[in-house]
Amino acid sequence: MRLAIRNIAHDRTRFLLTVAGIAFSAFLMVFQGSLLCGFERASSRVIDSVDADLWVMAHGVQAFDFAPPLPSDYYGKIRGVPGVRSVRRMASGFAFWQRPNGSRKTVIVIGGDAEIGGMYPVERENTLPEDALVDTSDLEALGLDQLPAEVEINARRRHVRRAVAGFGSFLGSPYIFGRLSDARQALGLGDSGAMFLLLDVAPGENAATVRAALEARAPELDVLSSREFSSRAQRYWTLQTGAGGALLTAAVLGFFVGVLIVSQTVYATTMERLEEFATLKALGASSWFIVRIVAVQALVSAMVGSAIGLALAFPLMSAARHAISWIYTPWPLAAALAVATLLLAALASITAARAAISIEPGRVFRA
Amino acid sequence: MPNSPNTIIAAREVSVGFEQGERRFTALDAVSAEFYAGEITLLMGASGSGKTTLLSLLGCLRSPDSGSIEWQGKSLSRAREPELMQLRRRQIGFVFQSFRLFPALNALENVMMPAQIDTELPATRADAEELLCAVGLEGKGSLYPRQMSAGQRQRVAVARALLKKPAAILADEPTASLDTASGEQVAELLKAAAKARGCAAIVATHDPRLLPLADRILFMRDGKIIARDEV
Ligand SMILES: Nc1ncnc2c1ncn2[C@@H]1O[C@H](COP(=O)(O)OP(=O)(O)O)[C@@H](O)[C@H]1O
Ligand SMILES: [Mg+2]
Repeated sequence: MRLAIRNIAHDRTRFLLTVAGIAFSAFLMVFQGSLLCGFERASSRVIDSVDADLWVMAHGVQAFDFAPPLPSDYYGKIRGVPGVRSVRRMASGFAFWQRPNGSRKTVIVIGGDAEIGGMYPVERENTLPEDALVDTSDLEALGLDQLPAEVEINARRRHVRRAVAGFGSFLGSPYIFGRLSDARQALGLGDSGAMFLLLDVAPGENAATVRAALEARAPELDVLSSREFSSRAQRYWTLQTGAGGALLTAAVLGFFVGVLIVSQTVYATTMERLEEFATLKALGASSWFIVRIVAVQALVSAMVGSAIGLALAFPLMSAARHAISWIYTPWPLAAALAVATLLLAALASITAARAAISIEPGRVFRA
Repeated sequence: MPNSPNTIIAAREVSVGFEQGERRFTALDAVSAEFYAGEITLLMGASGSGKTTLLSLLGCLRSPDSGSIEWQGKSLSRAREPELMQLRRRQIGFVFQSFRLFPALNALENVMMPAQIDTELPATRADAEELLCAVGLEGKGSLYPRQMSAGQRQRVAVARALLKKPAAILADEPTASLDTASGEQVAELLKAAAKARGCAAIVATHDPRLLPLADRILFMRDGKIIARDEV
């Protein structure tokens, strides 16, 4: 398609404007999408880090961060359910963190049985009693400029000896990890309280059967698979909180702004060449011939534009990670947005081409 | 009335009307005419007399409201767009007042455009270069339209129209955008197309300086042919 390529090379200003518009859209869509995806991932981060078949919690718990304690007798009751191999406990709740300089901050204290496993950041051998682990990205917010440091959580002394990565606070209340006994103490749970029971099903047992047995034994509790609890928490944070709602709205708006910019620029670029298409038609070109020119022009712009947009988005998001530690781009998101941009450009150009190919060829005689 | 053997296009009682607000305006009123191979026919008449409308019928760019166009003895009254497109692609060379070259392509590529549109056209780059020579643009094939004078551009357009060896060449006010000297050059080229290549050349114009070139002249007014002259 010589004419298509030559048209692009010929009208470089127009091409650059089109590419800039598409690059901006790709950037906007991927950035807003990454904020939303990062928020969702952060909102179920602790749940996803734990390797458990089933979660047991009080009825109606929406998120890991807000759960009432379970009465202590459930631990034994649930361990006795046939098919349950192991039960671990986790406690979580809000507490006051007192910085070395004396000012206070609200944090979420999390403690689990020693063998939580999975990607959960606390390992038994590295975590001593009274240890508190914080995320690297929260060090500054917690007023820690060097480690180790001594702090107080709900007026109890804790040692911060090391930091972990990937559990950055997404709502301004940092997660503080430690031993179960320390968390109970800080949260005033006595010596047997817990918010969650994490179950593993014995090998060869059917998880659904075990779950049904649990629900029969304790109908007043919620029993969820890890995946169910994870998506329940994501739904809660995204749809039922102001922060999540704002991010979701921004992502949806960003997507539509991107869609509009891409289709507008491609459409305008095509319409600008309407007279040439009329000439082609008068010279006997088929509609297919014209559509091909239009589509090639649009796709070249869209490919260059989205490549530039994505190429700019990744370094800028790395830079933004200092302020927004939880921003996250799953590669299918980037791929889907790139494909969507190409499809849109093709669609917009073909819509414009319809105008081009339906023009009356007689207009070529107008001076 | 049988066609004389060298009739390329014939108009039979063609009429065209346009809606202009509430009224219906008749741009062509039952016009009949024949156009012959190897002859140059001028359509003369004041602006608004219907010359362009008649050209667009002859060039298969639109269909008459009534009457019919015949191409080489075959009526087009039932022809659909693909058939008209084939005629434009294979048989008709167009020359426009505003040239209508592709600004992103150089002169040679503009001349070659019909071969891109019609991949079965047996025209080579050498043919295109030869045509550029014939219109007096030897060695100017790499110039872009914006680097050429109006007269040069119109000569590129004539070369483009001739590449497909058309049966008819239709020109609408081909000299109106040109100075006298370039206008004469272009007019001579159109005449040569008829004489040396056997095209039926049909030129709509209100430029009386073209009169000496013509084999036939059709004078139009208000959508009718009011006089015919054979030279
Ligand atoms: N597309 C159109 N819509 C409405 N009126 C038209 C259109 N094309 C031509 N006309 C009218 O038809 C008449 C003949 O026009 P035209 O064939 O262009 O004349 P000429 O080429 O001799 O100047 C004019 O009055 C013009 O206004
Ligand atoms: Mg006219």
